[in-house]
Amino acid sequence: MKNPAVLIEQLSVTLGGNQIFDEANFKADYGKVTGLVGPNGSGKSVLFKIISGFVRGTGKNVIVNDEQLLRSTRFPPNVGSLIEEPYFIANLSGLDNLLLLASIKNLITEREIVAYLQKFGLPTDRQAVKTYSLGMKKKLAIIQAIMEQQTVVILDEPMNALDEHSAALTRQVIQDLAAVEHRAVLLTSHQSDDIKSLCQEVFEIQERRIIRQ
Amino acid sequence: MRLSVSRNRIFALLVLISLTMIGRLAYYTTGRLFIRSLLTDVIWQESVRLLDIIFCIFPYILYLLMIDLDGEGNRELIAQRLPHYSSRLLSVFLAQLLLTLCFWLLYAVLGLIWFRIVFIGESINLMSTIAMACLSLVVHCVSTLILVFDYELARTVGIAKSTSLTVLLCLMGLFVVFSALNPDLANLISPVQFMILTPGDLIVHSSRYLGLGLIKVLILLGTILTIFRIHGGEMI
Repeated sequence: MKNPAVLIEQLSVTLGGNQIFDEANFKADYGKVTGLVGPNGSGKSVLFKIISGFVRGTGKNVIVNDEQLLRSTRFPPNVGSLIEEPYFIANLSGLDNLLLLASIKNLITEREIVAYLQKFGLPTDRQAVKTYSLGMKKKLAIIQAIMEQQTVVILDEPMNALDEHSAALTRQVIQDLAAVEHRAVLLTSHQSDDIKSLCQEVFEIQERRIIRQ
Repeated sequence: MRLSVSRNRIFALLVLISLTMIGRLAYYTTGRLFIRSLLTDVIWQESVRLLDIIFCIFPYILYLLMIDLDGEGNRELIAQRLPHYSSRLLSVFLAQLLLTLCFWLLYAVLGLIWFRIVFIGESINLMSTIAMACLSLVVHCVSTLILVFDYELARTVGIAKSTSLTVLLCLMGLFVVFSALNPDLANLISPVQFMILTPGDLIVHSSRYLGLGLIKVLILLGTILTIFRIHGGEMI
């Protein structure tokens, strides 16, 4: 895969009358962890939603996994994302929620999902998601973003609410996703240490532009 | 594909049905007491009562609640696994519409038959009834369309979700006014009314409405089906 995983050129986005981006450029490659930093409200989550196809902008290019999103109503293929707090069906177990999502594409088996749950220390029984702690829900959200071998993985503050052990495990998983599995990982974190230690490239949002650091 | 319903949904449905039943019982059993006068005196037009308005709006509020209870995040998780999300939404919309249409037609036809049997000798303007039925159907279809496609409209057309909800609320308002202009006929044929009023009708209406009430039970069962979440790869 020679093309960048994500290529954004001259992107402009206005939401609710507020201009979020003005001809912004961004690029992320396969096999790398790309960090995105910026103050609260600067547009990090909006950028991730654009890459996921949840929000549309205008400009020259928004290409994700070779899919041009600006002139298409399709969602980009093979993208996994954890943006803000994803919703799970509260009265189903974590396993059932993941099985439900997995049944859409039928790419992975129940055994593989159970392996992910065990890896992240989540229950594999019928414990309902509504009894999960914030950290457990976060881990469930991370699993759904990576479990189907998505080639572009978007993780918005993945370490929030995680205990020390789980955060360390997540850091290792992120590194492996890029280095071993050659996926493109897009990461935001308010922990500058995480950005420094995990990311090979870092972009910062400044005044509606995205600046490469 | 499988059906499931959360406790929240059942609870919301039960609470709203109970409130409606209590409201209707209160209305029909309090005689000339303060509550009844309060309810009947709040009038903006002859025959438009506060209760009529509340009853008309109730099911749509319920409908919105049901959509909202599922949250939007889950829809996003599903959407990103479906490159052809719009076409899948269309299938959801058509399935939901078909279900609604079947029960609506059953209700309208049986209701009209019942009406003719019960009110032999009384004049009924069939054409205006049919016209009202058609109008209510159109309103209902557009409302369903907006509800199902709300997320997709916001994404592809670029309008805020609140805009499509505003349109929906306007449609509700239109329906309320149109139902309230002729409460008896609207109560007979309105696809809004049948969604929630059945238990109350069964209890408080006199025997001449009992048959209609039974028909409404069938309709309510169909409506309950529509609030179930449909799980699986094909539907959301």
